[in-house]
Amino acid sequence: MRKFRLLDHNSVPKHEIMQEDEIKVLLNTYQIDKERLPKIKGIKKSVEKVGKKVTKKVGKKISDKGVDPVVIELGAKIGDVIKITRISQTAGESLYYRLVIE
Amino acid sequence: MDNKIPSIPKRIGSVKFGLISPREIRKMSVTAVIAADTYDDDGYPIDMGLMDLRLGVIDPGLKCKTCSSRAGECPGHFGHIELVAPVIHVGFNKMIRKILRAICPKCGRLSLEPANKEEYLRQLAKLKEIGHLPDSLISDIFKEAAKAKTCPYCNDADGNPTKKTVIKFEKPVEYIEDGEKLTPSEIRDRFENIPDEDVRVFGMDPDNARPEWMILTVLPVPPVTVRPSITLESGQRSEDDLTHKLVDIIRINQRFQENRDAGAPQLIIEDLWELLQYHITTFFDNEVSGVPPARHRSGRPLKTLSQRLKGKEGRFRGSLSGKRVNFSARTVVSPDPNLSINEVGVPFPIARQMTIPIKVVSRNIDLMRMYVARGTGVHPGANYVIREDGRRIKVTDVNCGELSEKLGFGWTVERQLADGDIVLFNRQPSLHKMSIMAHYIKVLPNKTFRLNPCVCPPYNADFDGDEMNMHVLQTEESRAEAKILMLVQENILSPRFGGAIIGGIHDHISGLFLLTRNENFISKNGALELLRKADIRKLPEPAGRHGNGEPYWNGKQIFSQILPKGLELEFPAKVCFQCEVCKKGDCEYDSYVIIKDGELLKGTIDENAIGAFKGIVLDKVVKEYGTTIGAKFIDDVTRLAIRGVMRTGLSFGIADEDVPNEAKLEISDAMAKAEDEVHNLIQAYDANELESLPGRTLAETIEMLIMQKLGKARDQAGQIAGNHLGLENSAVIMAKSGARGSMLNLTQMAACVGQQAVRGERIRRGYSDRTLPHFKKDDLAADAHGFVKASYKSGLNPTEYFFHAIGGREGLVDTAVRTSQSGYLQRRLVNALQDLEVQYDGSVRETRGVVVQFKYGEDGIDSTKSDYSKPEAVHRIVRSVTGKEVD
Ligand SMILES: [Mg+2]
Ligand SMILES: [Zn+2]
Ligand SMILES: [Zn+2]
Ligand SMILES: [Zn+2]
Repeated sequence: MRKFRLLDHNSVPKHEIMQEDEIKVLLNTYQIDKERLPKIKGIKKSVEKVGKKVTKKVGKKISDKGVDPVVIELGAKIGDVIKITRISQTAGESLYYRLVIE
Repeated sequence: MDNKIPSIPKRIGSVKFGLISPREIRKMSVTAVIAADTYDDDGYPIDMGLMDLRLGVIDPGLKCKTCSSRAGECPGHFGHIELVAPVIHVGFNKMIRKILRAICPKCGRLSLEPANKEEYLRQLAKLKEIGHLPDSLISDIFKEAAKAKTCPYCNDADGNPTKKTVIKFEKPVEYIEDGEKLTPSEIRDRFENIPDEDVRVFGMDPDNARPEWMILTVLPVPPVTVRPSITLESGQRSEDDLTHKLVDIIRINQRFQENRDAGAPQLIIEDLWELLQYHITTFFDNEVSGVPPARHRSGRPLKTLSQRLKGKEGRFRGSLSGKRVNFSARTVVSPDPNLSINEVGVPFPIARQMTIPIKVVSRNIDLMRMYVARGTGVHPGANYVIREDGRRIKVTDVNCGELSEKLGFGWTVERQLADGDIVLFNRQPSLHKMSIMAHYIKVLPNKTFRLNPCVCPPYNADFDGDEMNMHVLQTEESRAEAKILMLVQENILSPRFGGAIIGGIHDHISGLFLLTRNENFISKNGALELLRKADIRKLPEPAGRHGNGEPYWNGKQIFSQILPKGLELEFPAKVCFQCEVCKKGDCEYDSYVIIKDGELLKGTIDENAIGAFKGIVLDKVVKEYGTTIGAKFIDDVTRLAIRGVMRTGLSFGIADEDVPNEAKLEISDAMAKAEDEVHNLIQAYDANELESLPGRTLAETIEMLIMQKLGKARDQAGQIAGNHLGLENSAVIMAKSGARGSMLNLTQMAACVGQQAVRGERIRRGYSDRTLPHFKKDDLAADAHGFVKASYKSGLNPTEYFFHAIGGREGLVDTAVRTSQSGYLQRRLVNALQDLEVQYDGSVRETRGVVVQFKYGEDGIDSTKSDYSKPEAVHRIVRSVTGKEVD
């Protein structure tokens, strides 16, 4: 059976990892540094390796506690910026950005 | 002398909480307190008494013996009382109980295996690292340790592991082990035995909080400044409640000491110990359950430490987050439709009390002289003047003439409120920004604040005794800000839905409905009377002439006079029957409004045109012509409407609920038919012939079907009643135009009250298998489960009345619960959102600059400036400029 993909779910908006140059443009438009972006919880650097190993075996990591499932799905690293395209009641479509943190 | 407190901003690095140790208490104490007395016969503080001069001073003229400053500057200093025997601190009972159960009575070690301890320590460290609260882990640790039946570390006299017995806790401060009461000394001894490393395992930091410190051996005496005595008018001193309590403590402590030194019997010692425990318990908290509160001679319970902090009037909610202000007034509100929406009527007595400070300069000195010369008695006078050197002088009848002459540049005159001053007006609960708006004052006789009924919706006010607050602005800047941002007219449009929240209500709507509905042959006198207040200089061409040549106008023309020129609008009115194909201008019910160039050509004005929350005309006028014209429009509309409703008159009486006999027959026929149908349903159900709806049981299905049938029957009855009452019935007029009430209300009054429900279901509770003894068991019929066939007019029968009371009670409980819940939700939301700010780039950020929303509301639109977020606005602008339709 095909594994259920989180991002295919109707209620999960589109998530993409941004390229460095895109991030530069984003930070420039808002005149902020990365730290001023909203956050999303990622996998801790120190346990990343252990986590990956276990994923293969059980499909779920011990270090997953509190980590956003979308980060795992995308394979985003600490320091990445995720671009979220949401369906908005007021604007039709709206953009949101989150910095992946520990 | 420089009294200024240096204002160096400092950042709080961290806050540490711990238990205060006896050593620390003694270290910070400036004196032991041993005398259970305050002042000697000369009124001088007794040395080592409760008012000892080293504890701080409160009488002016005395000097503090510790810091040698005077009253007001001395912050006060702690003293201490050496307790003869240890006493439990009530506040830590829970913790004491937990620890007592978790440790060995003999060696004091935590009853956990060493490996377990290490594991728990590791987990605690991890939680601390990631910044989580350790509470749940710690309660697990205590539970685990309490489970142990024996101590893993020591043996009893027989060489077996020491047994642990269950320790019972009895309110308020008793611990019973094996039927024997543990004294505080015993408990303290056990706690002292706990090694530091074990203390760490249950989450305490032994450097800052040793468990035995929860049992007091020395009591800190709060400084005098915390418990000042007050001198009554009779010259008698009255001591603070805390001082009274401390007197008790010292007295018992002394007696305890004497008795013990004298070798008194154990029984007496125990009694005194308990008494000391009682006094110290109530010193901390006088509302502990199981402890009779300590009382004054008058019977009033003492307000001790905990009572000072707790509750709505306590230090936190009452003093620290509580705000009270000067220059405010509060009284009952009542309506005055002749005031503008921007005005508020202020009673004379209030206007005479409240003042506005005005600096005297060359341009206003004559005026200010006049105010001062009038004194306080004649209305716009002055109450105080402030000289250049900052001294305030009260203006009296005696000195007003003299002061008026002395008045010079640089003085300040505190002038009484007068017409045209701007004030803030507020009604609690202040749930949105429109709960505080700025109004211009109109000083009026009598004792209530008067306001235009149009501003009731934003304040959510009515006139059944509501009181409101007024705040007088004291600076030029605040007045400017209030005028630009908070004036009523600037708040006509609510940011909640982008439409008008201030507009016509009740009679305004029925008035204009009656006026614009028919031809309404209005004579010249009538027309002028209607438009009297609207500043209209010329009447339009008459709509026609009577046989005798007398000209007449119609209501639509009159209404058009107050519409701004150039207004173009088309929309269906509230009374529109929602015909399948709207005939628009040709609607036979005149319910499609067409306004061209500020002229009402077709349609009837009702709630959809000028009502608060819905008024389309209102919304358009404010958005297109600005707030000033918008405010004037509302004023004109309401005045015209009031005169309009007075022209025809609109009243409602019990007779308006009368329906003709044939209607009654029709209704009872419909009811009988519905009852038959219900009966058939029940029969089908009993015979098991009913098919259940998808996802429902058979019992649920029949309930639903019956509810449906009865609901339909009620609506049908209402329809019949409505048809017979006709469109001229005043309740129908009010319901259809949206002024007040609904057709449902009318149905219940005239035709049928309908099903009474509890939690959306028919009433089922009561006796076994039936609601009331009046019915057979397991009867599913309509009347047995709360269907009220009667109308309010015809009267309910006893069972109907009972079911109605059940349904009504649920409604009351619901509203009570909802208000308290939504109030709490509001508080939490506001606390979470209060510091967010929309920046100039359209993003929403908090105080650190972290972005919360990249575009305010995701679309960056101010709802009050958009046309309900629909593209119609653009289409209309294109149409009005180019004359062409956009597709
Ligand atoms: Mg009220
Ligand atoms: Zn002092
Ligand atoms: Zn032991
Ligand atoms: Zn129509």
